[in-house]
Amino acid sequence: MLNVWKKTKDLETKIDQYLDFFIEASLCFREGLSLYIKNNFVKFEEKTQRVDTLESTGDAFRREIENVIYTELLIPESRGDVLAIIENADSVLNKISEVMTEFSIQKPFIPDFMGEPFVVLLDATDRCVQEMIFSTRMYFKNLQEVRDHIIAVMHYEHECDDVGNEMKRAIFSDNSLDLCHKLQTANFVKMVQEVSDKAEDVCDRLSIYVIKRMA
Amino acid sequence: MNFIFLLGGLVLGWALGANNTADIFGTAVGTKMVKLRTALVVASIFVILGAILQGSETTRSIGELGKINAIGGSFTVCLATGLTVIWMTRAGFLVSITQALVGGIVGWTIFSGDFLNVDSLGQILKAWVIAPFIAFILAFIIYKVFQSSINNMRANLFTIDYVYRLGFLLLGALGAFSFGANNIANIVGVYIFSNPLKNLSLFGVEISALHLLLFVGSLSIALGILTGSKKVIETVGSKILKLSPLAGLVVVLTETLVLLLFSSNTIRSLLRLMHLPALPLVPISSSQVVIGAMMGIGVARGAGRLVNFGVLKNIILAWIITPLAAGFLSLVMLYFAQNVFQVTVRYPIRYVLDNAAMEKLERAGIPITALHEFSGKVFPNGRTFKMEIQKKGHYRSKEINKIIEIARVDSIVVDSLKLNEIPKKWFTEGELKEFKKLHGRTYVHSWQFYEELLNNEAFMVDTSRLEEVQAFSKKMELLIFLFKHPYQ
Repeated sequence: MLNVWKKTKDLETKIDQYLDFFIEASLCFREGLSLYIKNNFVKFEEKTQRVDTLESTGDAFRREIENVIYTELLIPESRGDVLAIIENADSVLNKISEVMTEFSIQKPFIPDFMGEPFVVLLDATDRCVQEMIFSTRMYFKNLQEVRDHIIAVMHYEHECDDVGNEMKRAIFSDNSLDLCHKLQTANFVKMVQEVSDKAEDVCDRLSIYVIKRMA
Repeated sequence: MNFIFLLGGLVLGWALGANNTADIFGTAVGTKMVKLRTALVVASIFVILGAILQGSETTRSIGELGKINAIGGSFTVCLATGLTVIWMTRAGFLVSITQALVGGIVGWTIFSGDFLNVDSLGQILKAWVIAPFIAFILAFIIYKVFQSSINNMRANLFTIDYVYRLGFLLLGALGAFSFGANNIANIVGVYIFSNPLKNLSLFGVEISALHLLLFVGSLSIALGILTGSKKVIETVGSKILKLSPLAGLVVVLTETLVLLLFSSNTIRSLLRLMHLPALPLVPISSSQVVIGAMMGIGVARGAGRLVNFGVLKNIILAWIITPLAAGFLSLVMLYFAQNVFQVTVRYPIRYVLDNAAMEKLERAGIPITALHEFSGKVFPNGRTFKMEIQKKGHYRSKEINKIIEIARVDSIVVDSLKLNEIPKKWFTEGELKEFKKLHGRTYVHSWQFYEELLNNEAFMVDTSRLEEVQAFSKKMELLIFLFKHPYQ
């Protein structure tokens, strides 16, 4: 029985560590892209590298968690939901890494007037991801608090939509840019918006799992 | 021969183990909280521990089969009951040993031509119907209360999971322990005075023949658990209703409570004090309680539709078939044992209304005027006696039962030497001295023996204390079984 307790505690720690990767990746995402806007490409590449490492380590952790849950028959009642939560969350980490890599490859031109709203968008995205992680953590630790964080995720995702759409309007109403630039910049704004969309998707599923556990 | 007789008990032991582990660990395995292998090992170990550590206490009562007055009869009924249960278990049915045993004993009573107490049988049947309903309601309430409490608690998913696991294992181990302690009497109880095993000295440790008997009996249960319980565990655990760990725990908890309701005198007195209908203290089936509890939870979860009614129908059908089949098989096997194998399966039970019985009846407030013409007459069996009383037409069914009980001839002959067959610690020094004094005394009716010892100072029974009277009654049941001299 002590062995089971140890294994359960190990699993809890592993899931906690896995979620820690998201916090760091989200911060790297915000800081890295802010550096990109300030044309500090060297530092930006360092952050991209870091996110890439976090993404691959996260994948290894996720596989280990899945293995442990199934082979050791831990948390049998919720294991299907827990695995789905972890898989869903993984898509956020993948998206963050994908966006940063695209920035690194395409090196899009971000006009000066976009700098300030871009920082606002990154800030909202980071908060959205952080709240998603809090809500996921609370699913394991305190079910009553999940809802509060899910509401926050919805709020920040909405903010990302508003800011992003404003940015796209501003891009297309500016006459100094040619169309291909406009399209590329708008596309990158859309890619950043997709991070918060993914976080919202995770929370949508999470709220169903919460209802399941409460029923 | 005694070895062959013991075999009957061991077959029943195997059947008990194969069938009843599902009541203790079925939901734990079904919810995947406890691995099947762990459940089987824990159940086996604790059944053996319960039987050995606590069983020598409970075997002081000789179990249900003690009602059969010939060891050959006990063996045959044991075997018939065991075979019925094994057959039903193999088919994946969740059957009740209690029901099968009652069916088997009724079969013997019919075969022996003795009087069948329809009233007490009716009480048992009533309890079999009521118990699952009580379990249904209790499980519904407990589940609702637990569910809302857990939702309001700020508990960690992993901690809850661990608490469930621990709960399942602890309740399961406890259940297996008391299962071993309480059921060992039904398996080897009747064989303690014809024990084929001898005292054994192992590495300088003296093991008594009684403990060896308990060990062999418990081993047969453990073997049943390890080799035959998987199918029934699967039926309980996952085929009827998919249970959550909380639901599984509520089922085990409800089972413990309902079994207590039907066996605790204290609860019975409490219910009476509150002017509530008291439940009869009769053997009920834990399997039925488990199914009732599952249904209650199904409804509490609003998932009545998810209950597998096909499996449920089979289970209810098994409840009806089991006692009938065990009774019928007992009848057939008793016939063969007596007529083909020349085994004594019954001794005739006579009835006589002597002066002592008449006085006792008067004290019990039963009018005896109409019975005077039977005074001193010996009746060859209960059935004839009952018919004669009924012809008088003055008595209600309860009174007839009382008359028959008081008139039964048990022929008790106190033989203090026979006490050597029982562990010395079961009696006090004073009690043993008293038996020596009573050596050679005879009593026509067992209640005479009972009353004499109850009023004897050496036995120091405080009749105002229920537990003392109960313990005394158990002791008496054993002594009567030991000193009884049935008509040969």
